[in-house]
Amino acid sequence: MTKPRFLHAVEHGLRQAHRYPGTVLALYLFQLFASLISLYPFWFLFNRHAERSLIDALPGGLMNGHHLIEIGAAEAGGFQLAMVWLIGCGALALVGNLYLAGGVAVVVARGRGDQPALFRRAGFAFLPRFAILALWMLPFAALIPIAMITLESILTLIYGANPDDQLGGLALQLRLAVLVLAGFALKQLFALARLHMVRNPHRSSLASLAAALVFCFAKFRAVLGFLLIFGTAYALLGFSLFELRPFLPHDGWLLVVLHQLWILLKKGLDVTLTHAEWHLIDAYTDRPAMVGGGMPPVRRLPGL
Amino acid sequence: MNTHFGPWLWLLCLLQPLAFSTEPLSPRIANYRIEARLHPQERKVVASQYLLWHNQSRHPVADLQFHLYLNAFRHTQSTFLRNNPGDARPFDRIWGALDIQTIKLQPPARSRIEMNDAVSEEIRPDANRFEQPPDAATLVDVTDQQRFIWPDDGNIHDQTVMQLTLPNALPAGASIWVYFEFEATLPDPPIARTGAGADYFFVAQWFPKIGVWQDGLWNCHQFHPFSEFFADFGVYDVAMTVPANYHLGATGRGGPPDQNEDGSLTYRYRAEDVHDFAWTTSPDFVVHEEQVDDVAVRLLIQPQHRGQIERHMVATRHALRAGQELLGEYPYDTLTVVDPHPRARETGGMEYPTLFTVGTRRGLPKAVRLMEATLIHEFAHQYFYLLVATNEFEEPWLDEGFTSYVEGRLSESLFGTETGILELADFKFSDRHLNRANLAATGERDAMAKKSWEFMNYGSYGVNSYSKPALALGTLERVLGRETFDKILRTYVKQYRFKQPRAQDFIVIANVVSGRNLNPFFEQLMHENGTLDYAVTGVRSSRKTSHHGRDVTNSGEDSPLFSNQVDLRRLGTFVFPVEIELCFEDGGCRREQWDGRDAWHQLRFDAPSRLVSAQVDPEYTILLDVNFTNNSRRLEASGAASDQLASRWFGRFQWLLELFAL
Repeated sequence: MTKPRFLHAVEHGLRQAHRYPGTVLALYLFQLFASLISLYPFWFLFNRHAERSLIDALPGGLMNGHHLIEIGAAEAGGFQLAMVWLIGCGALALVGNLYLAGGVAVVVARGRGDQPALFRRAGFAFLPRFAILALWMLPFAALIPIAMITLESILTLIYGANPDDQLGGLALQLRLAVLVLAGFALKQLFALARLHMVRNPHRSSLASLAAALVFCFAKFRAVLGFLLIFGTAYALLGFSLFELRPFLPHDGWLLVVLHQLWILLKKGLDVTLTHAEWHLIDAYTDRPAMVGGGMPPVRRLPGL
Repeated sequence: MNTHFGPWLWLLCLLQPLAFSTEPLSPRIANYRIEARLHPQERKVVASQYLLWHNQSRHPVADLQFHLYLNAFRHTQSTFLRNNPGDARPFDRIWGALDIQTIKLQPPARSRIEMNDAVSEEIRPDANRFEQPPDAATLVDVTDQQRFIWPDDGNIHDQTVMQLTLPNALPAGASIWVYFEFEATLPDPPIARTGAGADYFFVAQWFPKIGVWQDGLWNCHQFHPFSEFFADFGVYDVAMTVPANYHLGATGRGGPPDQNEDGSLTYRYRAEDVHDFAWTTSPDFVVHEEQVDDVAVRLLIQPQHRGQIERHMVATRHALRAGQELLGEYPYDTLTVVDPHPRARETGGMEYPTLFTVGTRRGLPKAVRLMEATLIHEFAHQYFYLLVATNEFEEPWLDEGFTSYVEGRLSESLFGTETGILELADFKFSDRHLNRANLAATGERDAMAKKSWEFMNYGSYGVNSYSKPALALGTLERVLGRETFDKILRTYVKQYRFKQPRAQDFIVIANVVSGRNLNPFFEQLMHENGTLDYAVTGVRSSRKTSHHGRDVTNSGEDSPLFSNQVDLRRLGTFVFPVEIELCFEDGGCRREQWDGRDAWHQLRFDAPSRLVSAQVDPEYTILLDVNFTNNSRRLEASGAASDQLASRWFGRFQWLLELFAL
């Protein structure tokens, strides 16, 4: 079989994406739920202080430091509670995403459109293995400072001891971009490893991770392409948050609506990219794809 | 001595000008000539010092007391480190020290004059004596007369105050030369704003510094973790020898260095009418010099921060110009701004006469203005406490509070009213916000008027020395009006420049200039730890109904008027008169006054329109109020504010969670 190129894979994914509306909706609804859960206590707290107060009359608007600080100070232990809540929500979001990752990967691998029951079974089945995979990924976090040091060395090589002198604010933006891209690279590695694990469910997490690493080097340009697509979509999302606000109604409802549409589109893009990644991995690995596979083997006790 | 003429002669002594190079602006009580040599490898400064000290009081002095501040960093049993052990880490470090090898004295000069056919002995400071120090070989060795004392806490391990008993008491009006040979070892890493890191040296509080003789007693405290300094004005003439290619910055004015035979450089600096002397040296400094009006500004910045030279200069130019406009003339012709080495960040954010340290980081975004805020703050210190020389040990709020207030004013005029420290998208954060946050979080622990080491902890020291007084001055500014308040400030600075005022001196000026009795305000502010918090706790409005009961005659129709009620409460113990704004359904508003004394107050009145909201302090003049959100209340609840905030943060939460989407 001819190995498809990156663009062909993405094109293929785009053509298939419309077959997974339920999957896209599931991803979006979880994200919405996690955001609302994270936000709710803060909204509740602020509303308790603001509901009867002329609070928006303070110069500087609602983001005036006075309100946030004095509410935090007024609520004894508020800061600590907020941190615990946010960390807890982050942990739950991570677990939730691990579950969704399994469901999406298996459903996309099956290639028959939405399959809610399979999605749920696969999500639970792969959750523990993906959790172990995530643990194995931790040492790769060293990738981030390595990327930063590499960037600093390149900048120093080109601009001398003080690259900030010549680049000014651009130097900081480059640093931030590399930091974010390094983080996305880790995510991409995870995404490829999980697909490899779905394709070869008998192999261990570590073996899948190793195979994903090999794939990254072998298909470096494709991986870079995925990163750039994902990074661009994320940057556009952030851009919309900051730049559109002055042009929209002050209370923000229209921006919230537009934001949700963008999140939905992004989830569609996530499914598309998953499809494209699957396509590339499937073609790259010479072993025949498992038919009806993707689920990890079930251990049975002797005699049963 | 003819006692009839004694007081007049004493007065004559005080009026005799000391013949220094310029007309003295200050009493010039403590004058230093120091020759110092830096030994970089050992982190040592080896020096000899002549001190010319004048007893300008009415009392004879039997002993002299000196601050040996660097001894606070000798070991962890000093008063400073015992109470703040975290500052001593890491323990495998170079510990600081101020070791005195030799002390010698010259007896006071006396001269005879003839007045009205009577011969009287008069004590008069000898003109030009400072420029002609005696030969040390001719002085009397009193090294064994020194001993450490512990006037504050009796900690026998503390060596930060040294007492030198004089062979003969120094009469009123007399002066004395004291000669020292000493070694100052700088801590590495630095502690409490002094020390060394890599090839960078910040040399502060490094010499035996005489205390202040006041009202017949020595004011010479031990060095405590939260305390700073207090000294008399004088002249400093200092020669500093450093290795070749080291740049140097110091208090006062200096010229190009002399090159010595061994290749080292000797810089000579002279500062007149100052009460401290600090210097810094490093071969790595990038030196930027600029004339800002009458002031020669030198910026000594680390090479990796070279891209921020203009940021430093923008803040410096603004501070100089706006600061002089607000507070009066900056009386010196030099100003040195120092950027510490990254391995000596602890030396940043500190003020000395005509020199201060700041501190920045590579790539610091322009929206984050910590460097500018620090620079403006340290410049403001040139007025409070370096010009108006209050006692930082005993009344820390008099310099830090005033400086914090001025920092806020100067930052506002540079960056805008609601921004200052941070301006990121729609999140703006100013000095005022920071001060209010500190006050809300830690304001109740101590009263403001305490000695610096008597506060409960560093947080309480911080809020009572910086935040609370700054907000108090801000409140006064808004209540009295900016014009009146600025007049108070300028009068205070003008009257007490080169002097050592106390809190009461400022309060008197505030009362006189404003024409109001502000004593109750200051009494609560300084001596009580209560918070100020006024709240509107209830708003009610209903159409007036017809009356019922005996002897009541009415038409049976409801009145066109509305019965309105507003409940007000004083939640804190600080009493302050407040204004209340009442707004009605027809769009009209009116204001009422309340003296704020009682714990609660109720307004009941009829009006043709329904009351929709009530707000205490509608102009937000009372910055000391710890909670603005309870200052107002609506008749009908409205979620508009919280919904708006939630919509912003909802988007941000979603965006952040996308980072974790797999």
